[in-house]
Amino acid sequence: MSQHALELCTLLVDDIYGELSSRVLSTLFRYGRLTVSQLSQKSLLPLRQLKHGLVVLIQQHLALHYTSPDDGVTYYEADWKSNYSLVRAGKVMRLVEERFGEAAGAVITNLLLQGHVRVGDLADAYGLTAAETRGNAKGGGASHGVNGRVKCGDAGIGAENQILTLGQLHCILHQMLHSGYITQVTEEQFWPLVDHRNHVERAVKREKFPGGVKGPKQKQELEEMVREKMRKSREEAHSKLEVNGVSRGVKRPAGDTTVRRGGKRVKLDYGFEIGHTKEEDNAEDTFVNENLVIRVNHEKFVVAFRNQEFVNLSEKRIGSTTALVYAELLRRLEARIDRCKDDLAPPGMPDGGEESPSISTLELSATLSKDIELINSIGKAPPIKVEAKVQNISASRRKRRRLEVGASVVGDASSDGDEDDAEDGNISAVDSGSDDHWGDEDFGIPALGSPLARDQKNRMAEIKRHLQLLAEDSYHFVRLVGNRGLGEWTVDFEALTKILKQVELEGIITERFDGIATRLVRVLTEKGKLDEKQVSNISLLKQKETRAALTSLYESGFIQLQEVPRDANRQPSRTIYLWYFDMERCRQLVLQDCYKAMARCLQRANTEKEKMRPLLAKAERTDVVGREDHYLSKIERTALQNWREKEERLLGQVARLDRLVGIFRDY
Amino acid sequence: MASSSIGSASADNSGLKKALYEKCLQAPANQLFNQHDLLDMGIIPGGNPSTLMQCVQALMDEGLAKVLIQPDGSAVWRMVKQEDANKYKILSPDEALIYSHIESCGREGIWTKNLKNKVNIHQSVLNRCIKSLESRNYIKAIKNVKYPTRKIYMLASLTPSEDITGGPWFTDSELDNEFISALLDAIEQFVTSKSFYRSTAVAEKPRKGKLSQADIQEALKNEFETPKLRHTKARSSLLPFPPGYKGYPTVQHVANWVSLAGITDVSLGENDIRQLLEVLCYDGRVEKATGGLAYKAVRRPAEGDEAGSGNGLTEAPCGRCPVFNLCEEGGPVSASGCEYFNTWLEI
Repeated sequence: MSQHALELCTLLVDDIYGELSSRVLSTLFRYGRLTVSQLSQKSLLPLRQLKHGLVVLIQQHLALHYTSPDDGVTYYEADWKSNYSLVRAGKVMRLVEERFGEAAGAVITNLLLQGHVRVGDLADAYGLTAAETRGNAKGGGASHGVNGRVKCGDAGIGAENQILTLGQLHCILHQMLHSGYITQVTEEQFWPLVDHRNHVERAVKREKFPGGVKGPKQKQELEEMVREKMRKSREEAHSKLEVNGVSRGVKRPAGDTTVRRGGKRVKLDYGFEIGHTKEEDNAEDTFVNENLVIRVNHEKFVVAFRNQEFVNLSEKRIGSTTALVYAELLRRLEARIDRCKDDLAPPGMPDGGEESPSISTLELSATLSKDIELINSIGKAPPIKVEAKVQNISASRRKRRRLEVGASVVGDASSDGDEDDAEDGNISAVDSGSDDHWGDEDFGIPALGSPLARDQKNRMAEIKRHLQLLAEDSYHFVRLVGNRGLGEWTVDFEALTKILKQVELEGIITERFDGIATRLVRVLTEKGKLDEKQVSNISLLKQKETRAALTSLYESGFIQLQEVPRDANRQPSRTIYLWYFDMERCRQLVLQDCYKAMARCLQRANTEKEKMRPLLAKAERTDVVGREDHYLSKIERTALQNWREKEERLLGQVARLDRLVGIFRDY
Repeated sequence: MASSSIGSASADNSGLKKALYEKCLQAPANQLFNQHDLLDMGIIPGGNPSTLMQCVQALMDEGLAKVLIQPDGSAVWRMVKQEDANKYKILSPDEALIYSHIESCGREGIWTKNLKNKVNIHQSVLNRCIKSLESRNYIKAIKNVKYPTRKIYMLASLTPSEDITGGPWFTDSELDNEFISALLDAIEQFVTSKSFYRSTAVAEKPRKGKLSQADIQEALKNEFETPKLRHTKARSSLLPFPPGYKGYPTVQHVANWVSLAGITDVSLGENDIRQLLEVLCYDGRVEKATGGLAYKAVRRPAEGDEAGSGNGLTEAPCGRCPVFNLCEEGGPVSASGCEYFNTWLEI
């Protein structure tokens, strides 16, 4: 938590939920834990007003509260990380739209606006009192400018993607619950982490250590137990959901199922584990418990965003088709990763203390095969046939042929433009739905000899080659862990994240300084602490140049200097000076800069808006809306246009900065 | 009797001496001879050590042989060419002493301060001697890259060693940036041409194992004839080689290519090339492949691709703002009145 982060959070809340909430929030930020009366005192707000502001914050999980069982006093505390998540709202919506369709995007928008909501109420809002929801969405949407998708909620409900039936809504909710994008609200989620910890610790002490905790060993035991219990309570929220939350048996009305849409969703949701396919088929028939209270699970989205970053990185380094394969692999793994960084993981064991999940080529090909086929089918040469013939040719020639095959394949993909486009194309192709036998050929190779089997085998080999390419790259995007199912792959997220950070940092250094500085930083990264002379020797640069670059890097804090005195006097002349690069320090530095830059962008957007206030007031008048051409002069219209562009630019920049925050903080 | 015997002996010895000297000169230059080597030449009658001693002593007196003491205490000799020996004859004793010390340092040269310590002559005398030696063109002053301020002397006929000049990267004891960056660019281009699959020139590309000379020649021809064209055409379609590809260029390949391409007159060893490749690695232009044995180029996003240029922080004015630290609402600099934002938003 830093000054700039708090400034940013306050701005965000001010932007979205208004001045009252932001005032309460900034008071909480400034003073930390407060009771209601203290809060009222410090914020100079009357209690009645204060409660209005506070309730918004609590509803949105921006402020946490805990009633101490000892004295019965409720303390309030701001949760700055969930505050920060407000920035990501736009990205969250887009991701959901991409994966589950626009209707789901509308649902998640509503969830984001509501903070948390009971499933029944959500259904009511859609079904019985649709008008009210629309009003809400609009009200929220107008002030929801930050995410740059002002009309999302409104449009979602009104447009063709309107949710027609309760079944559809439940289907969407079930899918998102299952993939972890939304989660059940539990009481603990409203507690500050420290209180949660104390709460659990008290319980553990009462049960296991009635005589008090003695000695370091018991202390450690207690520590372990508390952590374990907190983990359990966290997992319970999810598992309870599996058992109780999703009740089966209520069939959706026959004939109403828009088969195409249903089929599409099942196929798109690759996040399901293999074993769940049976269940998955029934997904359309499941209803979510009406009394379940749900909210957006930002942690899970962070995992998805991280995957996107990795995919982009692999695309840049290897190629777009390989990136597609990688995207699929990561998406499959995503189902088994709940969060990027686990605070509750046992020490010394990252990634939740479990073995990092792996996936075999065979499993991967089950969901990926259509992609590859899609791309091949665009190419005019029948590469599959070429590939099949090749199998009898000697190894070296085969390699050459494969190259050619690969060429046509990859070339087609890259002509599709960026990865998103390709994916869209893929979705639409699947959507066209000529593949009713999808479920049959999912797993295992069909009997040898049939053309289908050969195709599939070739495809598998193709996929495997892409995976090998990923593994062989010096970034090691994947790692081979076993031979099951034509090779079992896992991803070393921690190492990859580190590379990602390094790449971004180097990018920033190159932009801020020049190529020489980046070279020096890389030298220092690899060699550790170095004397100025050694640095210039290794980097083949004049000592003068090196010194200038090192000094400017040092001044802005990207590299550090270590003094090693040669004698006890610590004379400067008798001291060795060693330069070194400390990634962690750099990361912090850049992160703070990011927060600050984001805050500045938002402030600037506000200033720009302030300048436009009279005109905006006119443009928003009810008689003007929809008839701008008639009521607004040409100058006014261009001014409005200019302002929109500026705002878009500034908010877009915030989103781009958020990407860096993700990389440097969350992944 | 005695005198005549000595006289005849010295007359004999002068013949023997010459024969011995000639024989030794036939051996490779700077070879060292010990007593046994000299006796084994079969010039000294009866292998008489005392005769040998006399001959060698005579040679040493004329400055044609030099005695050196091995670490184990045994003496060895080195023959000096006639013309080198003649130089000593015209020198004063001080000059000869200084000259011998400078000569003994060979291609490394000797710092005047060290020289003074060794010969133990007064500074002014030393300066005079050095001056006269220099004027006779026996010695020359050189510069050491490591210690540019030191005055270092070596024989005029020798070229300074790489330690002194700093190796191939130094021209006139200054690091030659242009030379290095040109080499880096050339090598990068070469490595890039070998690192990606291009659909245009598939068949001709050597893929496996070592490059033969003909391959290299051909590659060179391709490289130099149409570099621009290939460059622009290939950018968009750089495809990775399949996993397990072994054809990425090694240090040896690159070194071969550099020497054949005639980019430079400076002779570059494999170590120099390795150093260049390392620098390219640090620049993020190439990276190690095939378990560190070979190098491959790093794929760069196609030109005009947005992903290649900067990120969220450096694109915003704040990322490059010189007064970012001061920036604060109500402070001397603030977002609402920021000039950088003004220009950025006007674009």
